[in-house]
Amino acid sequence: MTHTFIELSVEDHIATLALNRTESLNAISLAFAEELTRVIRELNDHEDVRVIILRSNARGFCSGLDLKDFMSLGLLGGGAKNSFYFYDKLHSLFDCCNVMEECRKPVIAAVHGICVGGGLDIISACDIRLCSEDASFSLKEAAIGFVADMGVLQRLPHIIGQGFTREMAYTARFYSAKEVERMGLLNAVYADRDTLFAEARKLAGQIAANAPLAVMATKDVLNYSRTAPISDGMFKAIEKNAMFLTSKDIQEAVKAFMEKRKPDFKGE
Amino acid sequence: MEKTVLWEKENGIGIISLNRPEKMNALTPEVLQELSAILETLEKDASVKVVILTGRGRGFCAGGDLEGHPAFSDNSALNREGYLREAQRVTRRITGLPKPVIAAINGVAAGAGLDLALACDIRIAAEDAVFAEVFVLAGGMPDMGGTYFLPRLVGVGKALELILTGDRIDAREAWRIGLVNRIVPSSEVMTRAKELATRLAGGPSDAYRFIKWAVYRGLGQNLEDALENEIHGQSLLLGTEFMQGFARNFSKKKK
Repeated sequence: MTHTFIELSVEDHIATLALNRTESLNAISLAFAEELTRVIRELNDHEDVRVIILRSNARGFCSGLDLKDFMSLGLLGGGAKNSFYFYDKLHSLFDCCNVMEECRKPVIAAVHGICVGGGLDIISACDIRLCSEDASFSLKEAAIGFVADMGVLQRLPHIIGQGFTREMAYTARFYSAKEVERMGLLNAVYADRDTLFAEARKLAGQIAANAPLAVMATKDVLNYSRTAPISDGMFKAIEKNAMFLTSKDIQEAVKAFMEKRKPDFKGE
Repeated sequence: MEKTVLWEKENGIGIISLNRPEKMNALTPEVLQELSAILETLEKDASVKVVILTGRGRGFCAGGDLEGHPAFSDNSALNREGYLREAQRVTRRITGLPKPVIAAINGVAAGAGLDLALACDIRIAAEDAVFAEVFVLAGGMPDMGGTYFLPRLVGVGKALELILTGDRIDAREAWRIGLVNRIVPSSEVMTRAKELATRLAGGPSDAYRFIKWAVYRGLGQNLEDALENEIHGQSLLLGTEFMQGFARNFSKKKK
């Protein structure tokens, strides 16, 4: 599969999506954001894919918004009319973060090197974050005159809490892997890039071994439950299971248990 | 083979016509997909300011086509859910379209066909049109927004009565209870719809976008949040050439 900014491979139900705009350290241009959104949506519809790993082929993960690309839109200094079209013109930036959550398959972000602004916005929308010791993170928006609007201010508190989110957002400074590990941003920190990618793959494999429909429904329920009352969230899970009673995978799980073997799930 | 949904543009108006007249424009998954795609096209077309939705032939839309509908034959509840979600995309596209959508109800609007009409912003109906939330007659429930739109248009009591009984009402009754905005002689439905659409097409489309957004959003909010919607929309609209120009002319006239 050929894309302009992304390198994609699918194997054993795992899709590995490598950000490949290496010359600009994966600076997020609108075209890049559009492509990322599209690829994730395609993977969402791809029947064989059960987990997605998001990583980078460049020296680092992502250097943030491509300011040159943004300036070329002419939104700055153009008067009131431009405020109108802010969302219209930039929606692919918001889409590329939202799509990580909307995608029903779990997305694991494997970060090495710098992860700035938009890059942090994207990984905060992913399900799980892993990194290597050389990784550093910066919620840069306030330093360039913006309020972070790609969802990070809404998502990060659920991951690291209000205190750390506010510190990161207000200072806009760089944080080391060690610092953010302490905050809970990451599930694990690995010694180097190679170990990081190997472990990400291992984790993805563990997820892919489970009943795909159940995993997807679990993500749906977790997303929903973040802001719903407990009883509503619970009800959503109960609704899902009421439907799963007729699924083939549940029958296979029971059969495998009786026959004392590993289940072979088909996603039905 | 003719397409099941047709569309054309005329003086800034996008006109969508359901095109299965022999089946009273009954909906199939294919029709809904076509409808969704056309709505997306019209949304992106800057020359289209208003959309009219109507049906070819005697009916507007009689609802889901039960003949051979996969949702009935598919045993998997999961797949059934899929069909329903696909259908609901149309509902979202209509309410989410940042342009006014007028339903020109030329005939029967029943079941999902009625839900379609209810999702539109304004309803103009032919004198001999009839309306019924027929889902319950088949043992089901509205699935394209009927349970949301109907109570808000006609009140909870009347909505429950119509949805629980599946009873059919005529255009006069529909108008009386607020289900449709106005009724016109049957031969005049499109003319009158186009009249309204033309009028709107000549107006401030920037404003329409925020008006529609704020009204639908506000339906689910309290006063405080609804006021915030108005702040957001109006503060942007105040900067537009239309409003600035209007204010300038206003002052001039006074002198």
